[in-house]
Parts: sequence; C-alpha cells; structure tokens
Amino acid sequence: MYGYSGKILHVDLTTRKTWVESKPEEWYKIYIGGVSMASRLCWENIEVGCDPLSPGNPICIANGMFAGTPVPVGGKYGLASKSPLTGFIGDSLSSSWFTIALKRAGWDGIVIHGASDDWVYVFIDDDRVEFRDASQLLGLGTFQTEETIREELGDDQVRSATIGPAGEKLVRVASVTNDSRQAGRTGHGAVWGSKKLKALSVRGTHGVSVADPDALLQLSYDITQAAQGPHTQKYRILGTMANVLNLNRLGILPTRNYQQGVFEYAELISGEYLHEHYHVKTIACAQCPIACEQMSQVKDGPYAGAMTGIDYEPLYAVGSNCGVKDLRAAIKTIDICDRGGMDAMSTGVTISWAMETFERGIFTKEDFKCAKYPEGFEPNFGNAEAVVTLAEMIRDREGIGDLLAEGSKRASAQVDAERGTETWKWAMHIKGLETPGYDARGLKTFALGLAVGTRGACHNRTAAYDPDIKGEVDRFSVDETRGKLAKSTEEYAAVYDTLPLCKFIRRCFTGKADRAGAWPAIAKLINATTGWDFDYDAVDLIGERAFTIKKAFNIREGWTREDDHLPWRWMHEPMKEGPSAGYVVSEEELEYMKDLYYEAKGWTKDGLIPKEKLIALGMEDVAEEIGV
Amino acid sequence: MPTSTSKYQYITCDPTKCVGCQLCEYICSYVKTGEFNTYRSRIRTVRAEEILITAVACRTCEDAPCVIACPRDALSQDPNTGIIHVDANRCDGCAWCVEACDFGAISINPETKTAEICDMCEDLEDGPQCVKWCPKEALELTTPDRRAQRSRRKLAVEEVLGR
Amino acid sequence: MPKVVVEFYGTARQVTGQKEVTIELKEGGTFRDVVRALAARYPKLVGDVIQPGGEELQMPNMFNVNARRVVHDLDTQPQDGDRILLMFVTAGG
Repeated sequence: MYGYSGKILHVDLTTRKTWVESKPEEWYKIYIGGVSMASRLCWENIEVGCDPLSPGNPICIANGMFAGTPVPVGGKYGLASKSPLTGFIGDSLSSSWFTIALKRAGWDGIVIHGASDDWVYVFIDDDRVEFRDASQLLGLGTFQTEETIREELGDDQVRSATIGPAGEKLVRVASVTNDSRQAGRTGHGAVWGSKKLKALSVRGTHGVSVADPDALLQLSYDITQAAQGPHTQKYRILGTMANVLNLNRLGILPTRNYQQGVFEYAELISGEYLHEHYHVKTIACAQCPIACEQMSQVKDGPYAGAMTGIDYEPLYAVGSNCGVKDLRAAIKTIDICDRGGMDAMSTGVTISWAMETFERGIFTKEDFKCAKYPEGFEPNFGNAEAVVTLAEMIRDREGIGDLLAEGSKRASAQVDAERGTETWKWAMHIKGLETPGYDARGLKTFALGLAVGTRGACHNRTAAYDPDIKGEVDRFSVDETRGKLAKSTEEYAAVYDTLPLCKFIRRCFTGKADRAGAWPAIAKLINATTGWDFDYDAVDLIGERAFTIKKAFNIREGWTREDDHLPWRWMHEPMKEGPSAGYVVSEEELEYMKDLYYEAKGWTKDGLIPKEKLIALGMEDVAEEIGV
Repeated sequence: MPTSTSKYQYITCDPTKCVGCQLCEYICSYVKTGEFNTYRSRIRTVRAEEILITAVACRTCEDAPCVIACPRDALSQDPNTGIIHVDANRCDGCAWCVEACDFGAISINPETKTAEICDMCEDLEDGPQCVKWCPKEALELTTPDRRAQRSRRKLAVEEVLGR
Repeated sequence: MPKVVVEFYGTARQVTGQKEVTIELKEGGTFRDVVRALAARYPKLVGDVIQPGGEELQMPNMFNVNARRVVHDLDTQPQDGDRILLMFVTAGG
C-alpha cells in the first residue's frame, strides 16, 4: 500500500499495553483519513453510551494520505472522541509537524484507551512506545509543554500534541494543541485530562513513499505556484481576519452575545487595523505554501507582551461578541486561550453569555469575586479587562470560572435550575457547542447547516454560508433548494476534512472552487499518492461517507430529530438593525428545511439512516447496528 | 554569531520571508534519497522562537572547517564552486565535521553512516530544487558579496528616499 | 447621471488605500462600467481584484449591492445611489 502503512497503533493507558492493528486497503478506501477515519476509529473503539470523561471514551487520531509528502496543505490530521460538550461525535482537525512525524513513525492512526492513574505523556519513537512521567509538565502552557518535552528528549524533531492547564482541570471547552495549531473545538482537552494524558509526543524518522512520486511532485509544484496568486490573497495578506469588516457590513458580525449583527467599533478590531498595528510575522503550517497565520503582538498597555496567531473565529468571539473594541485585550484573551489550551470560540461565547446574564441583573458583582478582584467586578459588554480575567478564571476553574468552564449549555442549565431563570434563551450553542462567527438569522441555508451539524454549531463542517454569501440563493428567505444545498455543502467540506486538505487551497487547482473545479485534480493527487483509480464520483463519495459515519455514531449515542435545533435567540428575536434587521429563523422554517435535508440525504423523516443506504456506502456493519 | 567567509555561492534564507512550510526539506530529501523524509534533508528549517523562522544549508566557507576537521580526509572542497564533496569510501560517520560546522549544516545518514552536505544540486540543470520550490522566494543562491551589495542599495533607498 | 458608491474591503482597500469612492455613470451604465471605471482609476486593482483587461472581477471578489444581493450579471444596471460593496468573503479561521 502506498500513502498508508496499513497500521493503527493502540495504546491502553490503564494497562500500559500497546498493540498493532492492521487494516485492509478496502477499509482505507472507505474511510480515507482525517475526520472520517478518526470518527470510524471512535465508532469501533468506544464503549457505547459512556460518559465522555470516562476511560471508555477513546482518543482517536487519523493522519491523512498526503501527510509527509509535498502535497500542499496536506499536513493535517483528524482527532475524534465523544465530545464532553455535546455528548455526540467530537471530530476536530489540526495540522503541521505533529501529523507528519506520526506518519514518518509509520502509523496511519492512534487509538488511546483507558485512563492513567498518574499524569503521563506517551512518547512514540518510531515503533517504540514509552509511557513517561508528566508530573514536571503539570501546569505548563501548551507551547511550553512542547518545548520542555523537546528538551527532555534532546531532539528538536520531536513533535507533541499537548493539553494546557485547562485540559488538566477538565475544562469542557479545552482544546488539544500541537505546533501552535489547535484541534480546538468540542472539548478534546478535557478528554485527555480525564485520562491524565498531558501530551502525545512523536519522533518519526522513516521516509514516506508514494505510488508515483514524479507525477505527485509535478501536481504539487503547480498547486504551490497557484497558491501564490489571487486565489489565496485574502489568506496570505490579512488572513481570515479580513472577515470582520465584510461580515459587519452584511449585518451578521456577532455582537454582544448575538444581540446585534453590526459592531460600531468593527474598524478597530478589523484585519486591516490588526495588520497595521500588531502584526509581526506570517507563519505557515508545515507543508503549506499559503501561510495564513498572522502572528500578532501587543506592544504597550497592561497586556504588553501577549503574542499569538490571530484568526477571525477566535477574534469575533472575544471581540465584538463581548463588545470589546481593544484589539490588545482581544489578543491577550486569545493568548490566554492558546497557551492555556482552550477553544477561544467557545470560551468567548460562554463569557458573552455571562456578560448578558450580568447585564440582565441575574449575576451581580458578587458573583465575580476572584483573587485578582476580591470584591468582584462588573462584566458589562465592552469591559475588556473582564473578558481577560474571565478567560483566566475559566482556565483555572476559579470562582465563577468553574461554572463557565462547563460551557454555555451546562452553565445556563445550572443557573436556571438554581435561580428559576431562563438564561438558556441567550446561551448560544447547538447541541452544546457554541455558535461560530456568523449570525445565522441573515444566512438561512447556513442556519440549516449548523442545526443538522453532527458536532454542533460548526462553520467548518457545514460550508452552507457559501451559497448565502455568494448570493446563489436569497440569504434572508427559505425555499425548497436548501435541503440539497446543506447536504451538498457539508459533504463538500467533508471531502477536505477527510483527506484532509486545508480548504484554503480549494481555488488553487483550477481557479474554481466547486466540485467540477477541484475533484478531478484531487483524484489525480490521490491516485499519484496511493496508486488507486479514484475519479470524480469516488472523491465525491468521501464526503458522504464521512458524514454518514459521524451521523451513525450520533444515532447510536441517542440522537433524535429534536437535537437538530438552533439557539432560542435566532428563532425568536429578530435582528434589530443593519441589513439583516427583522429576520429570525422561525420554527416552521427550520422544521421545513430539516425535512428537505433528511430527504436529500436519503434518510427517514426522523433523520435515521435506512439499512440499504448504509450498505450502498460500504458500511454493512454500521447498517447492522443502527440502520432502519 | 558565526558568519561565512565564502567567496562562493551558497543557499541563503531571508527570515522575513520564510514562513516555515518545510517544502524545501521535502524536495531536498526526495531529490537526494528518493523518498519524502524531512529528517534526511540537507537544508533544515529552524523555528527558534515563535516568530523566528529560517532555513540553513551549507555556507561553503573558505578553508572550510569541516574539511580541516575530517581525520580521514573524506571531505574535500571544490575550488571552483566551494561545494564540499564527501568520499563515501573514506567517511566513517565520526561526525567531527558535524561538530566543526558553525551552521549545523551537516548531518550523518543513520543508515549509511556517512556525512551529508548540501551540494546545491550541482548535477541538475535547473539548479537547487529548494530555491526553485520555495513558494515565498525566501531562498536564494547567492554570495556574501551580492548580499552586501543589495543591503547597501536598500540602505541608500531607505535613507535618501525614506521608503 | 446615476451615481454609485463603491465600498472597498480587504485587498481592494489595501490596494487603493481608500474606504470608498463615488463613481458617476452615464445613463444606462452597468456594473461592468463600474469595473472599467475602477480599473482606470486604480490600475493596481488589476491583477488580484480585477482581471487583466479590466472588464471582469477576479474570482472570488464580488459586488454586493447594499449588503442585500450579489451581482451575478455585470451587464445589469445599478440604481442611482446604490452602495456597491467590493469584497471577498470566504469563511474560515
């Protein structure tokens, strides 16, 4: 087999035993890699119905076929466990050196079972596995943990995926970090923390062989060149931060916990402003010729010295969404999240829930007592220091941070149970995962894509904002096309997330990002790597299969149609101002669109998957368990 | 800070342009070993601090310390190009050259136990493949003299024209 | 004579150094005429934002009229007073 080793490494933290599982080529042709393979490994290895923070929940890592080759943006991996935020599949992506080291060590995937009694980190040194004491790493931030391990092992080629203090404390919005990139969403850091696993370190010294290296090189070279042109200008120059002003102008920039879609200080937190005042260096993931990470540094004021890569999604969450207009405070908050090992999106949206709860008089100053402010503080929207402090309190589970560390769904449920309030109405999440940086009241196809998403409110898994923003449909209304569009866009995204390739490359194959523009080129890359004979249809099936295995996982964990919901606010409170003023996604619209979507997917009206559908996709064993 | 005294060409990296993508390492290892293994690249990217990224290969020093250090006379320097050639029959992988190199530009192949040094792809028509591939044009085949000329020009433009 | 305002975002703003510009069109002027006027006024937009030739927008840049609708046919006409957003929106991050 080319492009794969055919081997999955199993590591049991309870027994400290390891074993190797061989997978047949047919299995790889169905699950490929990335989020699909990681989710399939999770399907195979989980104790069904387990608590996500119990030993029965495995950590599943899957490389991509392109990791370790010069295929641009192919250095990504999938990470899957049952999410402690949603109770459904938590499938995340991260990128860069770690996955390439894993590939060179000879592993297509890793499954970590059980839980350790003492804090450990696991060192995979090619085919040797070592359980190492992690007590000296406790409390260290993510970047520092990586450096310390490199020093301890005496090789700067050792790459690690780590958790920070937040993961150690089982903060449910905690992430996993490697090479300053995050598998950010769905709370993986808490799963690792529950197993007392501080890091997974890898040294891989072997080469990666592909079926037709000369063809692969030529294809890669051409894509690399195209990636320097207009197709990636936004990512290279301003990074994803260019979205701030665009989305603000369209009236869908989440502002003050989604109470507004226009932020009057948007210019001050824009990509343009960041570039001019705080940008210090542009960085690429390993194997990426685009380079989109905008490293930004605070040079003055109380947060001087804070530095991290700034992307749009973390920024809206801790910026406009908390009413914060000072980029220095936003950079500091994201720095706290990145080093502390937390998802800045879920952290920001949970903080904004707390701010609104305070402004409505349910929380008081008393509730915000902490070591730094013994008398408490008043977290009104726009109070930048409050946002910084709350991020630290969540990371450390200090004071009210202990509540907020549970994420907005659990925090609001707990407050409502204790105080008889209805704060859940402004808890902005779907299935427990906080909403991304687009107000879906002004993007109706996207609203459907988010509602039916298998991992909750994720913009990356459904690309359904695309037809709305590009104007292929009217973004303010609903019609019979939306079910097919939601299916088509989520499966499109899933092809990239499964190979995985970073979606930022999608226009560089032919200049056109649609299936016709990209799939034939991707088929060539797959064939030159593996020696397979994939064509357009085979590439297209990758996405449908990926979504199917994730959905099947959710169904087995108890999913029902009611779980495909939207936050109450988006369904009941019209946008007040801007171009999207007056709109909500009504119950009727949502249910109508869900019907259309399930039908387009070939599922039942209840959203369940017929046996024959699963068998046609090559998933006979899945059909046995959950097919109807 | 060691500096090369070379009159020869070598591959240099502009750290303000380098983004750390490692494509140079992929292409180098493929050209030299037939497989993709950045561990075996003769040019190495370095991320020393969070925002300090560059790449390093042989600087073709004059009176090259690695040649002098070799106890078996396995290393020799081409007087025309400055490229260091390794005689695989003589080299026993003792790594004295590795220690002697101030740039960390030499490594020992773990299987053959011989030293590996950038040869600027001298046998390829289109020259160093890493330079050809670098998507950010951070890598360049140059000499210290040419770099100095460019620095002087840049300084003049900055000081006189203020841009 | 119809007048429209073109608002610049992202690359377009960086290249022009301006947030917006007012363009006067002849009676019956089209969105393509707006592209032509921009290319003439800001030659640097040609390349990353406007296709060489100055007749078409470079994918994936687009015109959005009044933040309400996207222009699919450049040969249609804007209304007097329209605000035309020149932007490049793709999600991510």
